[in-house]
Amino acid sequence: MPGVEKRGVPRDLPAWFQQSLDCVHCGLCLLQCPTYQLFKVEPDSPRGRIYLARALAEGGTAPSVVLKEPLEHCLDCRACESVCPSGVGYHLVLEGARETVAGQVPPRFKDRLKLFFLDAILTRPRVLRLAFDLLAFWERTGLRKLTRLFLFGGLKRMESLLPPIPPKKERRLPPPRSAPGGKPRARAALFTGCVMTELFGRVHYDTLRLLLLHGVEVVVPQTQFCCGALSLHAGSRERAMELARLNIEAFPRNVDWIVFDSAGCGAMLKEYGRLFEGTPLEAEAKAFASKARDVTEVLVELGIETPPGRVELKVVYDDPCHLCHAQGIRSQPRKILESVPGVELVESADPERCCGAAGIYNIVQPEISERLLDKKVEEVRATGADAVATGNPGCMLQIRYGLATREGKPMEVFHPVEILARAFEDGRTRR
Amino acid sequence: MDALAEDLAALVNRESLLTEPDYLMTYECDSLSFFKQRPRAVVLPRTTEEVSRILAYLSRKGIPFTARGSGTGLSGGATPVEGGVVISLARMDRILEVHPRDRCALVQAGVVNTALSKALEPLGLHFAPDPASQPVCSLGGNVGENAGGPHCFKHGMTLNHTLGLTLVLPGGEVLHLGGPCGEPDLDLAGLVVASEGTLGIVTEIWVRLTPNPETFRTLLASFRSLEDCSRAVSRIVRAGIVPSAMEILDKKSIEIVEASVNKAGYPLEAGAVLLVELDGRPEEMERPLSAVEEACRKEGALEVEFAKDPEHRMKLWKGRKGVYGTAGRLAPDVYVMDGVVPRNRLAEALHRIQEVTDSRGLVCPNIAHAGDGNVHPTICYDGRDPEQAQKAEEAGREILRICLELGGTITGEHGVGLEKLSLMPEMFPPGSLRVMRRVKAVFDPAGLANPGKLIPLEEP
Ligand SMILES: Cc1cc2nc3c(=O)[nH]c(=O)nc-3n(C[C@H](O)[C@H](O)[C@H](O)COP(=O)(O)OP(=O)(O)OC[C@H]3O[C@@H](n4cnc5c(N)ncnc54)[C@H](O)[C@@H]3O)c2cc1C
Ligand code: SF4
Ligand code: SF4
Repeated sequence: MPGVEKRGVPRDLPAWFQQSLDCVHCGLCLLQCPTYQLFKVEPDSPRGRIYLARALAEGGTAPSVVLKEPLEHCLDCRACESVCPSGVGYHLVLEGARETVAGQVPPRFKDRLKLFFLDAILTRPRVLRLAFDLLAFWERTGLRKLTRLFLFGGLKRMESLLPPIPPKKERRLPPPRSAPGGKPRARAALFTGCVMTELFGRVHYDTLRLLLLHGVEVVVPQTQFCCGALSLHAGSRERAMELARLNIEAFPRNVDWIVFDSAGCGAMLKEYGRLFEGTPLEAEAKAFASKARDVTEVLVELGIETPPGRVELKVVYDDPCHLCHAQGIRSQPRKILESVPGVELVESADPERCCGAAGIYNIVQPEISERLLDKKVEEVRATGADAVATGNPGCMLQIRYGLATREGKPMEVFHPVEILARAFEDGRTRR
Repeated sequence: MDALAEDLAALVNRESLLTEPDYLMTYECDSLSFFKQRPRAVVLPRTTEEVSRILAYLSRKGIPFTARGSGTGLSGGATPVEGGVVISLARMDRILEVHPRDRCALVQAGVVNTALSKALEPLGLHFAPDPASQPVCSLGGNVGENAGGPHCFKHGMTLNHTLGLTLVLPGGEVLHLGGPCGEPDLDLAGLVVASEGTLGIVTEIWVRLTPNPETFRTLLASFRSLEDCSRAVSRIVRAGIVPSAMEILDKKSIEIVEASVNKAGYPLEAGAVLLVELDGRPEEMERPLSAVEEACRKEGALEVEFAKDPEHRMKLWKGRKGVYGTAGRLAPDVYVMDGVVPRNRLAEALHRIQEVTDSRGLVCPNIAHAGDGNVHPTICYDGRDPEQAQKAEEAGREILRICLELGGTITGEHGVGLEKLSLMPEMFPPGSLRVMRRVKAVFDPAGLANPGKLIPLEEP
């Protein structure tokens, strides 16, 4: 807080511990927390987790499997931060505590599998490409249908979480440089991320098209990496910093914005500055972070052009946690949807409550994730909308899966820019 | 698992029980983290029958227990007692019956204050007491502390909105006190309100429902000083106007609110602001509203601003309700005081409180439910520094003594709990304390229900 010196707090303690001291134990965050809503116990609340983290730092308790559990239950959705009057940077506390515990509690098989998956596949673009080529092959040959018959338990769930693999041309990165007709109003670099490209590459193309239509020149660095969020949240700071460094190097300096269309990646890119605090890369990381923008932010800032076509669709918008809670972006995606002629935008009961995707939480914490998804599906269906719009790949996958596995009327899932792009693409009326 | 845990697990199911030391640690205190005591176990019952079974068992074993709602109390009411068990009502969160025409509802004790009002929204009704903690605190906790809020000046505290309740006595016996029509004679339900869990555990409550006001008018007046501001309050009341709320915020409070997520647009140059709200029918609003404005101007208001729309109103209120939490940015620990002074001595009280904290070098934003003379100085300190902690405690004590000296009381709505226990003999003569002890003994002869809270144990 500007002008106010926090008194009596030694400066040499880790930053996350300082954050935990900002918590005054008021409890105003309790009911915002999806896991508290489910379990109604303190250790599964933000206040309880901060209390445990603080005890951990002060020596009041030691890392253990027991302590680890509530920390792992946390979705890192940051809903608690949106209501905390004391401005506690909860995610920093969580990261710090998870790291401390990870360093001292021997990882279980599940954890090791998770880290392997992150280190060896997800964060290596070439391996990831290959993995998806294999998946596509598996699907094309009809093997996917066949395997489905034999899968059970966790694997069966993972298979149904995975949507049909998009055609190869959608999974390719857009060209390195595209110029709008006329003199560019601004210059942007597109951040493409890992899974987003493989599963929702079409959204990158829509983002590109919309930026061009709004007079922005777009460059797409052809070698870029996973943003590092998943590694950081899994307690592997080193790997996260390595990925961040690679991205900072890969992106040109002479752009006005670094535009992303995945909320989760975006929240991470905006944190790069903090990640490198006190290191030689700090200034560059800060410069990078200060340019990071969600595509909806950029379009609203530029002034959304009225599209020539219509899209007749009743849409419910669902706020990705890492857009609303982490970045405070709530109105822009709604404005995008409202700007499309024919779209009727409706609201569900609690659009800001996590759907249970939360990075790879839906794979590592299936039970809690499914319960949150039940609520989400029920609430979006209750609106009577034809489609759900949400701006994060994890949420898109999760909600698609939720709708497919629960009884009720079929609904489509889109990224908000897909709907706007469609209205530009053709004047034809849908449905 | 020790014997106690095994026995409890047999009474409820394993999921309704916490026994790991780390998890118990998170139940050490309520929102006042000054006092800490780790419970032996935490039980989370779902029904009155379960509560009854647990209490019967604990009483056989002579184990004390403490009821806990959401743990947002500010006087240590829900802090466990030594060797005791915590009974959390958080999972008893169902609204059982709603009778819109009779304007009452039956709820389980763990229902959260705003959750009830939200569910009633389509019926145009709400539960009137509105503590600043209302998005999280439980109705059982509201009953436990007789919670109030800004709008209680006009609409009354929890006591005025409790028609009846189900109380489980320490031996396990279940009593139904009062009911949808209230308590006709000796108001035993009323006795349980504000008893801070010392008479037994409330599992269900008949609450009174209040129609949502047709309109609100909210204004914010800024003043050069707290004195001007307090005088405006007296002038408003003297004019015979009953605003639904009148809140004072001092300069420090304004500063911290404006630097937080709850930024409300309070003028930073003011020495104090007064937030006034009127509710009622639209045609009845204009006259009192202009009277309030006039009273403020007569006392030298620098500026008077009206809430433009519902969002603006929400913003003005959010700022006020966030003061306590926001103070957390000033120091690691925050001690929210709660005292009452006669309204006409408010200016004097606020002034003297400031002297108390200033002279000790403590930062202390101050707010007040001005209509009720209820002051909430918020002392900021670092509890890890014993000297500061002691200063904070001393200042707190002195502030409450000032309230007593001016003819007020040591609690308006946060209760006595552990925090103010030692001041009870200063507030009440020995005779009154003796009666309180006897009343407790009628409900709880073995002294197992939250002992050592509210009523001092020994004769002074
Ligand atoms: C930010 C903040 C703002 C606040 N603002 C206000 C305010 O404006 N006005 C106000 O009055 N208070 C306020 N409070 C104090 C507190 O929120 C209230 O006292 C509230 O009523 C406590 O509810 P709870 O569910 O958290 O109860 P707890 O803290 O869990 O318990 C409070 C007391 O009631 C007892 N109790 C709880 N449930 C039961 C039950 N079912 N049966 C028997 N006894 C029970 C407990 O043993 C304890 O003694 C505030 C607190 C915070 C943190
Ligand atoms: S709202 Fe903030 S200060 Fe209050 S308990 Fe939660 S994290 Fe702590
Ligand atoms: S990040 Fe989400 S799940 Fe974790 S404590 Fe905060 S609100 Fe709860």
